[in-house]
Amino acid sequence: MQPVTVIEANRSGILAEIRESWRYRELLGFLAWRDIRVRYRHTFVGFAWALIEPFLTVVAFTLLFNRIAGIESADIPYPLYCYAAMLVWNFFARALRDSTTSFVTNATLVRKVYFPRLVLPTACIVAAGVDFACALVMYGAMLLYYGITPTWAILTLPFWVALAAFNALGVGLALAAINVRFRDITQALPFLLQLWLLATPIAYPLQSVPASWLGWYLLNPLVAVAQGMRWALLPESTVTTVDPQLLVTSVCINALLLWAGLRVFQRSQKGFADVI
Amino acid sequence: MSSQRQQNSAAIEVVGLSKRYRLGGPPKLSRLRQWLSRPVERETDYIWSLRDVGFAVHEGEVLGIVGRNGAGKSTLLKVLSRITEPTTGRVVMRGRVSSLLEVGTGFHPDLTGRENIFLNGSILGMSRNEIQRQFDAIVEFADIARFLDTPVKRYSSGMYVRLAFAVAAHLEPEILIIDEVLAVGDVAFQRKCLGAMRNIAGSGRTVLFVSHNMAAINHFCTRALRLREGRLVHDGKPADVTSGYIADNYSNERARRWPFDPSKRMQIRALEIRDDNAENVLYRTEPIEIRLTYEVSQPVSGADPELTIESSDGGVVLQTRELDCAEQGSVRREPGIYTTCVTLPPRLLNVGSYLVRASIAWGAPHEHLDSRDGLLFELHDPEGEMTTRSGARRRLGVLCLNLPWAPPTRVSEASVDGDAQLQTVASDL
Repeated sequence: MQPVTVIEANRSGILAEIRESWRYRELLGFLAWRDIRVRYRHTFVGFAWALIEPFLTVVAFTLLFNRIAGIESADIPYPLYCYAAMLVWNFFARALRDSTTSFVTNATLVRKVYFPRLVLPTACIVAAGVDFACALVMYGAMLLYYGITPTWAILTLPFWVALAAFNALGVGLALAAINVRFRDITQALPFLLQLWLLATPIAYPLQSVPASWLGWYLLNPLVAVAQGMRWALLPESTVTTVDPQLLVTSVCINALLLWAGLRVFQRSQKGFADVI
Repeated sequence: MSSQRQQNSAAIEVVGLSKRYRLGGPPKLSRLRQWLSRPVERETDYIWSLRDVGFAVHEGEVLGIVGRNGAGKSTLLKVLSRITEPTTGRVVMRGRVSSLLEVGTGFHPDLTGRENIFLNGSILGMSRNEIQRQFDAIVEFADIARFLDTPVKRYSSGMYVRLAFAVAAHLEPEILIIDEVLAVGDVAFQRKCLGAMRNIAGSGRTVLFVSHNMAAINHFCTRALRLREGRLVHDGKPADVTSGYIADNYSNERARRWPFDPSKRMQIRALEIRDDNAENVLYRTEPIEIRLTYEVSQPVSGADPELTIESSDGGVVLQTRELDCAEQGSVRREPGIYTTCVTLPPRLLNVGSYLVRASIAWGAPHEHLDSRDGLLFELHDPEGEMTTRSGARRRLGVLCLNLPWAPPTRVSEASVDGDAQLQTVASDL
């Protein structure tokens, strides 16, 4: 049976785009593989960078926030406490950064070849996931070093990671689509990520956020993700609990962001090749 | 349903296809506001790259597309490749489509040849299995086996292009869309590419092929389209379409004159073609006189008026210079208007259209004091010439000379045991 392609203005909806992207999953894999390959090709320690970067950040955070600013994490060693959330943050930040610039950095592809455009930002998220997996191994080593065993909650780990991935995809798609026309996004992104990092409970426990701020604070969908990672990777404690209400809010906001991101992306993607 | 059966015969159907682009510079704050609020659209803000284009391509047809830069060829290919959406109209394509708008799209300089074969193959729409199956053939075609594990940024540009084309040549779609990919590589590789193209064209696949190379169009295509300012103006046999295109782009007059340009030391003022007969037709059996007039405004030495004759595919047939017949190598010319003429002998060029360009060569190779787009002329065969002298078949080639063949000598009996007989003949010679 011959496949039939119909080309018309405003033809494909977002569902068709997702289905088409699934057909191109092999290309998605190749693009993610390329990104990882190229990222570490000319480095001396290669893949170890995926470990060194979060490790040094945690060391710095421990010195700065724990030793100097005196932030405590109850009965859990601070480096472990911080790293559990840092893991997912690093994944999210890399995924968002790369997917936002994905169309611009791959402009030649966008101009010269057809494939569902959704594949590009998604490949960036998959590539960031590989770095995450390495950093996770490192975390396992740290757990062994501190002699700490996580609870059965570790089984929920994929859920939190998926939540972070969808969040990065939703926001990344919208930003990437706007970035094609207005490169201001590329300029603003590092700043945005910095603020976002501070507004997420990574260096400090969620419990230390003033109660009166929580209404606004919890709008950040990554709060539940960071806290969920701690719950999944650390023993039970007062500073690792996930409030079900927080979880529901986060999932709803996430879904909303993903829907909005897909809408913005879908509305502007047909003109990508003409303006990029 | 009868309409469905009818449709099934066409591999590509294009109906009322138009594409409009917005004119304008880089984004400004006002544009941001515009983009967000969708203001009233004015027709002058837009340009139509394609306007109501419609055609159908049947399975196995090799369709060439010609037109000047900006005629809409690339836009058409981009729409058919689904890179950009049409503004209006509809295209239906039956079969797997691959398009090749650029050689080596998606090659990453830091990746090795091997890695790039997989990446590029995947980008062009091949599955991993297909790439694996074709891998050896690709490497052999590109002739880069030794450099397979070297990053392509260390490749010479020739190797790079060979590898890129090799991947593309091993695509196996039912419909293939190609844009000008032959304009790459050295002569030997171009020949290889043309061979690959010939295979593709002969394999029963449907091919859409954009090129400025009229010879390639005439060679490979079974049909051609011509676009002008976004509209389809000619759809027919490749030879008709390409010659129409050439005739439209160059004047078909017998003489051209150019105004005096005071900034030039020496310049071409006129070019004329004359023939002896009274009818306004040039025959290949008669001498053709080309007359060149040039003006010298400051004394100049070492300058050499030159005529270049090109065939309809843009290939140079010959170049001839005034100083070929001068007594000494370098001539000094005083200011004044000069006229000279050269005669093409009869029965040299084959039937067809040719272009004469005039230029004044000076100094290093390819340096010119002046150069002019020339005259187009068409050579015909006087009635009966070809049929009486050499049978009804038209000769191929740019040249059509009567070469001195020796009358055949009978050297042996007809063969009974072919090989043995021929060996004796060979040893006799």
